[in-house]
Amino acid sequence: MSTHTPRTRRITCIGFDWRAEVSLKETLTLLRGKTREPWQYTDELTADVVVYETHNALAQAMVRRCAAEDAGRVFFPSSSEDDSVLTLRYPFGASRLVSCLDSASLQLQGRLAATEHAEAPSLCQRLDDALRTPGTLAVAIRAGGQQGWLSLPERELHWSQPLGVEEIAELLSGEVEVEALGPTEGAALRRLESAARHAAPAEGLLWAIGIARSKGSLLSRLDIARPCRLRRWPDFGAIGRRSLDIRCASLLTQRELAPSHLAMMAGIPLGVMGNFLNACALVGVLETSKTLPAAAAVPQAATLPQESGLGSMLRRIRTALAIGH
Amino acid sequence: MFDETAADLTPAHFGSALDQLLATVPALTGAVLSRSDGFEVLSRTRAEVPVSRLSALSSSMVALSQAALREVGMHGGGGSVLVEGQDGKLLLLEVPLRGQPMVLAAIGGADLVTGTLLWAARDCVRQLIQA
Amino acid sequence: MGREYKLLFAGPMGAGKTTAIAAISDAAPVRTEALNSDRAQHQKETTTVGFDYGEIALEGGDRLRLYGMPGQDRFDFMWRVASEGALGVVLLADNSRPDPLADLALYLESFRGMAQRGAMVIGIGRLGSGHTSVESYTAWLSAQGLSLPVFTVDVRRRDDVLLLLDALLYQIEAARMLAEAPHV
Repeated sequence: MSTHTPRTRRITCIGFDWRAEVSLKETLTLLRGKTREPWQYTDELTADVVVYETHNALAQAMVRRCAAEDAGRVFFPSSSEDDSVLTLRYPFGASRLVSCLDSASLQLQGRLAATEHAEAPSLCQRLDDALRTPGTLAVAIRAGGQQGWLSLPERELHWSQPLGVEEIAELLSGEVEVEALGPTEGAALRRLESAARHAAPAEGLLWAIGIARSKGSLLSRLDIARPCRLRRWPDFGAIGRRSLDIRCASLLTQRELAPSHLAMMAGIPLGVMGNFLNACALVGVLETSKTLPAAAAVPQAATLPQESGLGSMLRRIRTALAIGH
Repeated sequence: MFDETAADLTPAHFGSALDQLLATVPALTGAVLSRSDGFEVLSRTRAEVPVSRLSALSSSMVALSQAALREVGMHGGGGSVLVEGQDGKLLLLEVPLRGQPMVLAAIGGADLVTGTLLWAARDCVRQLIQA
Repeated sequence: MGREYKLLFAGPMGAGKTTAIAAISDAAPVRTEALNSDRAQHQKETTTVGFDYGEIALEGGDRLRLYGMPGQDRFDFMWRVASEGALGVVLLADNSRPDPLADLALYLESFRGMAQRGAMVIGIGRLGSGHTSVESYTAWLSAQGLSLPVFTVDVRRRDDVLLLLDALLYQIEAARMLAEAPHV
C-alpha cells in the first residue's frame, strides 16, 4: 500500500469517438476502489492523465502542446510502435486500464507539480495584443521554420505551407513569434503575402490557442466583473464539440453577463472559464460592456433544479444521446 | 363548367378519365390528379378547389398511410385513404403508374354514397393506368 | 404511459434531414418518400412528402420523437401541424443551393416562435460548394435580431448531429435559466 495520502486523480481522453468517452467514464466507475488512487473523468486537458487517439491529428497536436508546457502529466497513446510504451486502445479493457492508472500514479507521485508561471505573457495575450494594435493590417506569425499571417479585419489566415498536424502542433507547443504589421511595413507585408499563400481556416486555430496557450490567465483587457456577451456563436462545427464551450456560449449569446456570474450559472470554475473567454476574444466574437455594473450586485445562482420538469427532461435526453455533462 | 390545369404534356386519356368520373358521379365537387411528390397534374372541378394545396396534402396523406401500413407489416400499393366530415368526404387513391406514381383525389358532398365514390374512383384509376 | 417530447428537423430538399434523423434514432426511421419529379430543385431520386419519424427512448419510459419535415414549401401545412408543442427545431441549410439565405428566411418565418425563444439551431451543409460564408449567415440572423447557434456540419457524421442537438438543448436550458434569473 502507498503511504501517499489518497487524492482523486483526473483522467481525460481526446480524439476518440464519443463512445470511447462514455466507455471510459463507465469503466472508471466500475474500477472504484481497485486502483492505487481514486480516479474520476474530466473534460479538461489539465487532467493528470490524458489518453489520446494517435490517428487524430488535432489530438496529437494538443498532446504535444500539453506535454511541452507541463511535465507533470502522463499521456497514454492509443497505439505505439514502441513495445515499451503503455498504450490504451478503445474499447478500454478493465485490467489494462488499472495497470495504466497505477503506473500513472507512480509517475505522478515521483514528480513535483509544475507550479511556476513564466513571467512572459502567454501566446494568447501576445496574439490578442497584436490583433488589437491600432492601424494593424496584418499579424505576422512565425513558428519554427514556418510563417504565416492573419489579415485584418477579416482574420483570414495564410500559411507558408498547407497547415497540417505538424504545423498546428508547432503553433500549439513551440516558440511562436507574433508581430503586428501596420501601413508603414508595406514591404514586409508584401514579402509575407508572396511567401505564405495557403489559405487556412483561422477560427479553429485561434480557438485552440485561446484554450491551450493562455497560461491560465484571463486576457488583460478582460475583467471578471465586467459584463460581456458573444455577438455570434463560434463555429463549433469547425472547432470541435466540447459541452462546456456550448453551455457558456448559449448563455453569453442570449444575455450580457459578467464572467463571475457566467461561471456560477454554468457551474464551471472561473479558471476554466478564463480559457473559454480568451478563445472567444481571440476569435473576435466577445464584446465587453463599456461600463461596470453600477453596484456590485451579488448574482443569484439560477441553475435549473435538476429534477424540475425541463431540467429532468434535458438531462435524460443528454443521457440517451451520451452528450453533455 | 370545368377548369383544366397543366394539360399540355399529360396524355389525353387522363383528361377523359377525369371527365368520365365527374359525369358518372354528379355529386362530386371535383377530382385532382397529382404526382406522388405533391405536384398537380390535372384537375376537373365544379366549384372552387385549392388544387395545388390539395395536391401537396394528398401526397402527404397517401405517403403517411403507406408508412402506417408498412409499420403493421402490410406492404404493397393500390391503397386508398377516405376522410369524412359532416360536410362531405375526400377520397385519395394511389395511381400506380409505372415510372411516375400518382394520387387521385376525389371530393364529394355529404350526400355522396361512399360505395359509389369508391367504385367510380377505382374505375377512373383503371382508365388512368391503361397505356 | 410515458411522456412524449418532440424535436423537428427542417430545411430545403436534399439538406440531409432524413440522414440526420437516421444518424441518431434508436431504430430505423419511418420514411414517407415519393419519387422526386422536381429534378430542377434537387437531383435526388426520392423526397420526403409526409414526414420522417425516428425516436429515442429516455429513462423513465419517456420518448423523444424526431420529425423530419418535407423540405418543399408546398408542404408548409405539415410544418405548422408538427410545430405544435415541439421543443425545438434543427434547421439544416444547404450552402450549394443558389440562395441559401432566402431558403433560411422561409423556414425562419414558419418556425418563428421557436426561433424567437432560442429553440433553434442551424447546421450548414456543403459549405465549400457555395459562396455564402458562415459569417454571412450569422450577420443575416443578427439583422433579424436573432443570435442562434450556426455550425458547419456534415450530417452523415453522427457527432455533427450530436453537436446540433447539444447546442439546441443548451439553448433551451439557457433561455429558461435566464428567464428566471434577475438581470445584474
